[in-house]
Amino acid sequence: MHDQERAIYEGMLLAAGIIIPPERNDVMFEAFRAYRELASVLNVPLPYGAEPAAIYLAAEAKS
Amino acid sequence: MTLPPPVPSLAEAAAQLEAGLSPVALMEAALARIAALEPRLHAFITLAAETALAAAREAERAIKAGRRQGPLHGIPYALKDIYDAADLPTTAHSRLLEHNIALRNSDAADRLEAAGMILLGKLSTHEFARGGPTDSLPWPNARNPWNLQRFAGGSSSGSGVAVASGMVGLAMGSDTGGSIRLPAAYCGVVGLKPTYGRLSRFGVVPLSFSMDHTGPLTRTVEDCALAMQVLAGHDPRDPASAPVPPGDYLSMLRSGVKGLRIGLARRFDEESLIDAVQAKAIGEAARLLADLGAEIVDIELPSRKLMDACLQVILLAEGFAIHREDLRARPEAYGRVTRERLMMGAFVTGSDYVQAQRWRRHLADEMQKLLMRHDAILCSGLTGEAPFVAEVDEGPFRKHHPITGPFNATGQPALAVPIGFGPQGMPLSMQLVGANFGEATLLRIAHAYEAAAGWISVRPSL
Repeated sequence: MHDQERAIYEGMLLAAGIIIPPERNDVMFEAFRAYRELASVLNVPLPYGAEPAAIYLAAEAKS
Repeated sequence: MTLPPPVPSLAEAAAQLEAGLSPVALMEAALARIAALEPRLHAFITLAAETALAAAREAERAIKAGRRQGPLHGIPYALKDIYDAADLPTTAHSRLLEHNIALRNSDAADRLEAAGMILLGKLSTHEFARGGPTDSLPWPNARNPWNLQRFAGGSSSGSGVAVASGMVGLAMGSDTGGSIRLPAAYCGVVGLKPTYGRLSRFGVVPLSFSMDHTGPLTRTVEDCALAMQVLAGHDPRDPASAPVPPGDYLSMLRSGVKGLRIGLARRFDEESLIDAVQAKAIGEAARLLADLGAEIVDIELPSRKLMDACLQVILLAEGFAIHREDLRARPEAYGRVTRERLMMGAFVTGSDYVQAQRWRRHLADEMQKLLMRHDAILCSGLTGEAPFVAEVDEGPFRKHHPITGPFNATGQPALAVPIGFGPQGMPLSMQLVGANFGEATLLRIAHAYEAAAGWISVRPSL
């Protein structure tokens, strides 16, 4: 599990083009795990009609 | 050498100017206070002393000629250094913007200038409103005037410090997860995060487009109301600016709290791990409001964890979108704390972001429903007295998220109000949270509390 998480962590950094200095890698990895744990509370099914906030309304769009 | 006295509050200064005080004398007093304290407190990044004095002379001429623009005409103020003011640097306290000169004013600077206020300078901040108090940056970080070794709060650290130390009566801050309310709380002043969309963000360096709020820090509640009277109003240059009337913050300010229903969010405070000192202070504040005639009832807020998750996911994603290219190309230009916190956005997926926005709408609706049945929510503004700077969590992802953040996610206005001091002599604070665009009610409650509690007369010994 830990290896798989580590691979995801490194893959996401690679995809984003972000380089972490080796001496900060363990700290960032733990922060990544803490982030994923917090964000996981949002990953429950919501009704199809549950729209996101901050949707622009066409009527409010500036010309 | 005798320390020059603190500047008067905005209301006091307005009365003194009405009675004939010279705006030049007021400006000179502010500059003398700053000169004496700045070597210890580091509140300012840029001091615009010459232009401020010239503007004060012009204000004096205008007022003498009967052209007073309003109660705030001739009074100095300062901006967190993420607000643009034409021809002055906007650095965001970062090497990346060290040589950035603003070409035009932010909306806040425009409105305060139109009211006759005079910009004294630009204030220290945590880098890009995101870093920490020990980042190694081109300018020192601001120090808490109650104890120089303790955290001043952030990110609007210079704003809290400048107001608490009596350098200015009004400083503008910005608040993405608590960055107005936390320095206000730790420095013992008043700080308002208005409703999302109430004040314009035009000309302010962004951190998270949908979480950023602008707002005032002042020493008194009345000053906050005076500032809001000038600052509020629709701005078509800000796509999030709400097309609503600007509001009236003064006419009901002294109406008291009799008959108002205030929800006390005990469980929210417990979940936020506030300490016993802060819990006692909140209990005493609630009792005082009850003695003044408010009805205090227990209230359950939506899940703290869900609100924190919404805030963090959205903030990380939006902040990363803004900084990604610089984080790739010149990461060493950022302070370590700022860099790592911004890099955390690399871990947010598209579905994380959308899911957070879906929950956000739900949570904002739930909070607003509660606020349709209560005039305000009362909860803690911090978890305890300011920690020592060396004890502040400066990790890339905090172990405990700020107690202020949930109301950035849900968007309602939240006001930080001083409620006394802990055994270590540091300020304590409450948050009053209101319905969307209900800032006037929060100020009314806070004013009644402030007048009865009397904390306002206590100032830091400097």
